[in-house]
Amino acid sequence: MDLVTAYTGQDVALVLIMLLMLALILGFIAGSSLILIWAERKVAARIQNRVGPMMTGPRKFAEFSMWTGGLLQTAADAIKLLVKELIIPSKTDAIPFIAAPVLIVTVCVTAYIVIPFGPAFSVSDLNIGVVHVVAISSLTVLSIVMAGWSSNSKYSLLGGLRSAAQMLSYEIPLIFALLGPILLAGGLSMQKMVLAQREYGCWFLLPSLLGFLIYYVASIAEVNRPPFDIPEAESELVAGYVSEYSGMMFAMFFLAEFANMFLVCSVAATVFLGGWLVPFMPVPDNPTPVYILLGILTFFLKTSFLVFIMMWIRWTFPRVRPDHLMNLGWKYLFPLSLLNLLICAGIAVLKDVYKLNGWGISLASLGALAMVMLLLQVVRIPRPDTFLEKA
Amino acid sequence: MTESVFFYLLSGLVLSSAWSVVRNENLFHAGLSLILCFVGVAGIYMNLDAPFLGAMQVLIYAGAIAVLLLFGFMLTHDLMKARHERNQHLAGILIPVLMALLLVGTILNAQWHASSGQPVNFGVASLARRYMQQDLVAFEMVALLLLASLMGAVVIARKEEGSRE
Repeated sequence: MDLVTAYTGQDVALVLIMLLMLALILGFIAGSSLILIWAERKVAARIQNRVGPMMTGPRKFAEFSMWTGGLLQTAADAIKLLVKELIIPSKTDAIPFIAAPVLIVTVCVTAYIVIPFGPAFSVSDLNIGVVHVVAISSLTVLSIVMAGWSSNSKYSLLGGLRSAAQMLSYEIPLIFALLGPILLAGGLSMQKMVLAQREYGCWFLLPSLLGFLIYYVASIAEVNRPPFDIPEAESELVAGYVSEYSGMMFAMFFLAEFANMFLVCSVAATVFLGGWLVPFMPVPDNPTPVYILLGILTFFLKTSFLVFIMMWIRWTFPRVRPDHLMNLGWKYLFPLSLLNLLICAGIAVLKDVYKLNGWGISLASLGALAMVMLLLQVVRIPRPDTFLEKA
Repeated sequence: MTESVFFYLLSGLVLSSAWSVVRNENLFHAGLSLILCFVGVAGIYMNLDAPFLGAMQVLIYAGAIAVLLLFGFMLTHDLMKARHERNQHLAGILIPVLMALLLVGTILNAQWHASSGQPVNFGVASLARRYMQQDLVAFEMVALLLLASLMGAVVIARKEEGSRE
């Protein structure tokens, strides 16, 4: 009987809306990835003193042709990958081999649900927002392990193993870095995070500067980007877990990599940089259309800035060695993230007791940071090399 | 009633994947089915309006424990032969049947009180308050247990390193 009501009743509309929303997110991910891949290639080119892709795209105006020249390159690449044959090598474990790229994109789409693009502009403002993103993203590693194992190739297997170890270790500092802002906001919902920063009068970047840095480093490791791209180190593992993939299945891994990069940056922008809060502009209680538009623009500007820095880091630093990576994650980032939690708790208490405004909180957090620096001067932290010599 | 439809779909998923965990000849596929089973259970939690529990199920069971399991598989030599070495069909059937009897008996005999009051807004905040006030001792006990297991793991790992030298 329930099945019948489901087919005839109003709930069907709800399911349809949910499907429509998911399709919208998928479209957004595909579109933003096209732009991000183009941006990555152009940024890489500028850093290496090249011009990057130039052939596909409008080149009418000489001044702008540096940037518009390769604008359609990614679209051309996407069409090429779409029409390519899907090769499934005969010795692979076919079901996980095909399921892995599907899973990685699914996970990405699901995680995007809670991202607040603007005031009242998220698909669903779940009251567990931050935990939702972290929990769903933790399934990405599963997809990589599946791809690594089912490819039946030593390069893929090694890539999958390295990735599993890396992502499991960096998930911990990532979550602990987010705990500070969660404590300050007193809730897990993403919109509530933004509103709490409005209430505090300053971005959570200041009270948990340490947390922001830890989150940023850990998130670069989570999305397997250089300098933490050990799972897909092309000079030693061909391409790691994507070695055996071709055509659209490869493109899905590629798409998910860029979509994940945008995802972690948008979480960082929301949690630490005030999300859609426009700086130096009072927030109306009921957001006006102008404010909503400005808010969406601000959100994208903040996120793009973080994405740009990630690209900058990628083309500037050499790859980290696996043992250095583990040392950094467990011996530095994790204890520091606990320290960050402590500082955030202190500032939350200060705010409650002394009713501090934004300036007061900024001052208090700077003071806390200075104390941490002093502490680090007193307590000598050994460099990674000394750990290695002992082992 | 979308909820019931999703409940039956998810239950079907959980049961079939659980069956696959037990019966699949390929150990890696069994591991993947286990993850599917965990995710299905998380879906049931979410369907019951317990999103925090569902997210934790995904984060801890599917995202961490099961992936560690697969990690172990990848390091195991001759993985596919491992399944045929032991024959424990009798125990394998007996224990689940006894478990099922116990559970069904408990559920049938339980007194189900229909709630008459207002629905409680049982969010993360109230859960946290409970952990930090009423159930603090239990919370600390769990923390101590985890610490002990962590130390145990370190001790075991250290011993192997020492014996190699």
